[in-house]
Amino acid sequence: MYLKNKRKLILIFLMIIILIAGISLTIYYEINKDEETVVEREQQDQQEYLTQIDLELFNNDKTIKWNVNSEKLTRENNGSIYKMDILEFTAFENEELIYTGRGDKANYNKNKELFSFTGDININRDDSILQTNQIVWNRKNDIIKGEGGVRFETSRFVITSEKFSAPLSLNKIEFIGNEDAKAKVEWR
Amino acid sequence: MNKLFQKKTAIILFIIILFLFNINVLAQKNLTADKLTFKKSEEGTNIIEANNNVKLIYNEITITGDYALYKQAEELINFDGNVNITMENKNLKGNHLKYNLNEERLNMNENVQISAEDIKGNSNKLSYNRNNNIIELTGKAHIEYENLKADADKIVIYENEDRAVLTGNVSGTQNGNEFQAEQIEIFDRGNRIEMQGNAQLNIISEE
Repeated sequence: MYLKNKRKLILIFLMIIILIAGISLTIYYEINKDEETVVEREQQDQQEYLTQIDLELFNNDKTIKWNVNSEKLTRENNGSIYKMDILEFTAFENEELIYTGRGDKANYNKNKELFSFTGDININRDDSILQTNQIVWNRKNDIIKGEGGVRFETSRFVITSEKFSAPLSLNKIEFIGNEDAKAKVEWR
Repeated sequence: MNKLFQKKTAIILFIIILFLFNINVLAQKNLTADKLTFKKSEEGTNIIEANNNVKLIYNEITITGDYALYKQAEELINFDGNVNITMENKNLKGNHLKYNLNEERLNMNENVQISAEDIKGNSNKLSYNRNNNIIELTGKAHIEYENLKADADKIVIYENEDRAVLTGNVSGTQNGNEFQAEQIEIFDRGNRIEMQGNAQLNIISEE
């Protein structure tokens, strides 16, 4: 009688262990499956990174062309965001070179049509240099804006301001100050 | 001996610091505004437009106004609207100013006013040469000293010589006495005048 009960108990105990193990494995599998999906998605998002890229971008009326050279380009968010590292750009107006520049990083948001550059940005036009830390080219209106401190140097003077705004050709640049620091020209 | 050396060194350092400070003040050449616009002229030279709260500090002159335009090729800066110039011992006001930075020459027009320690004046136009300190007022020119007031077509003030020459339809009063002439010369801050050409002096009795 006692033996019979003991066997029954062992059987029940084994069944419980098998049940717990089954549930645990199922949960473990599901978790791993989710993690794998996330990693796969991320891999899909960051898929296709390319090196030594040459891009050609045009303004709306196709009069200005930007040649962008980047060391590395990564595509994210199903291709809605492009990220670029260490890049140089050259702008041509009707095939005539108008300026060259470089920056540390660039980010193109395809949906918002915003091309933003960050890092030590230097743009050379004629005898002048524009230096700033961030610029954004709004491709809807082809206006370039920069903020967080701007310095514009020519052989005769230096202009400093908090922000700037200019058409893509950079043939007219507006320097805007704030209450604490006005836009300033200093003659050499 | 050592103390004396330290004292001498301190004095020399102080003089050097003072000298460098003065150089820095004299050398200030800057233009500030709420907004500056850089562009190229048709000839390809640099132009800067300044809008709102414009202030120029240039070789000990301070100029404020509503708007300014700097042309690099000509080294010329034009001011428009509420132009106020402060320099050394005088103040100039007007609606428009052309300032040639190379030649240190200022030309103002419309409602021009000048005020200094012992002289006041106004006219339609003013020309000021900073190299020789000669001020020329033309068009309904008026000048006032403590005891003299006069109007003329043209007034030239020679600041270095404490002298002014008034020409064309000159009329005025000195200590209450009326005068008229084709030309008068004012010396010693209005205390002495010399008249030429159809000169008339009408002495008013004190009765």
